[in-house]
Amino acid sequence: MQSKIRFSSVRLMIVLFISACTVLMLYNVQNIENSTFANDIAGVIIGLLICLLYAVPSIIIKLRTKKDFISFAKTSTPSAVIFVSSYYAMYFAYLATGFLIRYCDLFSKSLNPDANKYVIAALLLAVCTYAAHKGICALSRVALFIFVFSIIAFLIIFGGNISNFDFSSQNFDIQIDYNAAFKAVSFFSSISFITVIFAFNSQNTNKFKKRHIILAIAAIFVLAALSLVFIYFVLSGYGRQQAYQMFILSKTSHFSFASGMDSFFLAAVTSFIFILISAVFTSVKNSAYSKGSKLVLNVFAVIVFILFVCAQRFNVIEDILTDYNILNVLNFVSAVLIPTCYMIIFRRRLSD
Amino acid sequence: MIKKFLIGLICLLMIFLQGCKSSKQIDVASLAETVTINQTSDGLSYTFYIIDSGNAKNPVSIKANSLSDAVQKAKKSYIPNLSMSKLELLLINENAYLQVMRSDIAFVSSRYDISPLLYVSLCDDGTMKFFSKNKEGLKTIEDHIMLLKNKNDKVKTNSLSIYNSFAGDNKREFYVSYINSKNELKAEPYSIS
Repeated sequence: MQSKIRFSSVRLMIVLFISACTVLMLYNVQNIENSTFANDIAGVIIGLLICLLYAVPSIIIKLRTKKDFISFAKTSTPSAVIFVSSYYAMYFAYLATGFLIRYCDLFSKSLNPDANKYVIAALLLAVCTYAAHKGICALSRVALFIFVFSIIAFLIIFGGNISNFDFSSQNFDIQIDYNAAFKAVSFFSSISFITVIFAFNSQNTNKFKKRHIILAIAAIFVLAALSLVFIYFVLSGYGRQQAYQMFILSKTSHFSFASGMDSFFLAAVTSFIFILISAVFTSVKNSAYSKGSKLVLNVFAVIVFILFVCAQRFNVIEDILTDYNILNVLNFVSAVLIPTCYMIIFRRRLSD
Repeated sequence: MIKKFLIGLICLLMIFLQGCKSSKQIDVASLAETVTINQTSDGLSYTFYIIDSGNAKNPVSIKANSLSDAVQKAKKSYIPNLSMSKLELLLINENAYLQVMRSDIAFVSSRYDISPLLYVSLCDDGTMKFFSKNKEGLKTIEDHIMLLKNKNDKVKTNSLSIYNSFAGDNKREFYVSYINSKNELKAEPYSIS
């Protein structure tokens, strides 16, 4: 019953912001060989525009019907929604497993190489399943505290690196390499998965305004640009050979003699991944009919765990699950194509 | 009842299956705080200075071709619980730097447990002797490196900036810290081209 409680849409935006922060923490923002700062900044700007465009269908549905996309689909096509839900379950499984793999890899590489990745994944999934059972309202309340902590963590990571800026090792070439810029756009537009989470969880939010989601997305991309500045001008070439650049940035952060803020990074990334996977699970729960949603959620968590085990055993599965180009295609289908089809077919319901 | 059982099970899993059992405890781990690299008549010698409770020096010298090789040999035969997470200084003899500096900097840069702010400095034979005998050697050398860095910000003093200088334009000259023991211990810029 918790999920029926209405809550401020700003709280949902905080959940989306934290979920998107996970990308900046777990993936390398400066990730393309031979890419320049200008290319990556172009990638951030175009990625921001793509993300805003992806949000349009779910914003229109929310503003016109006061429902989120999945509730709109349930009322519009009650008999066919099982196919739509099945597709989205696959999409969410892809999303959750991809981030779970990256997190467990980071955990074992940076903190404890002897840790059993399966146990970490199982524990995280158990906690996220519990949080998803409580609903998005309870999750958004937790997200408020994590949001405050994230601000502190980013201030520490970035603030502690100001003295490490080194502009001498960078050339300020503003030539755009289209291939590298395209890859950068592809990477930054993968953040648009947050618009799908919005499309599944905005049903019970009140006082929703367009500017809320625009500001949330803009804040993410400002943070992405800031991360790029620090990674380019603090880590430079050193960052390119690292698997987790933000982790290295937290290690180089220092205030006078106090150095190595990696514990802040690890605490932040753990709380971010918790919010992200819980929000994904809540979306899956919302896509099922309320009668069987608990069972659906538990089965979904088991499927994600099985996918995770397969990814650990077979490298090719891991590569597929962590490929942001595939995620981009799925994001387009999930955030734009299917909702737009619904909007076109049921345009009368939208105007009612 | 089922909830309590599940919570209990999760707690047990956290205790027994998190890999902490096999992790290095702080009282058992051999924390290297300095590694010195010397050129001897029979090849390169890597010396690991381990922190011990009495704050006394506890050096272990290993013949190896590179730092990576030395760490492997140390873990296998000499220091099984070696941890590099507290490494503060990599001191390279001026006679050995041409052979090892680039590859050893690349090695420390690839390790997650070693801080990118690890001090790296070249030195002469006298400084090596001073360092091996003096209990406060690490602090003295770090102070000199910091003084030099404050005076001349073009000098690359840590593994991160030296790695970037090597990775950048190869023809570009850059400066690293060099500890000279003539007359008195002093840090000065040393050109690497």
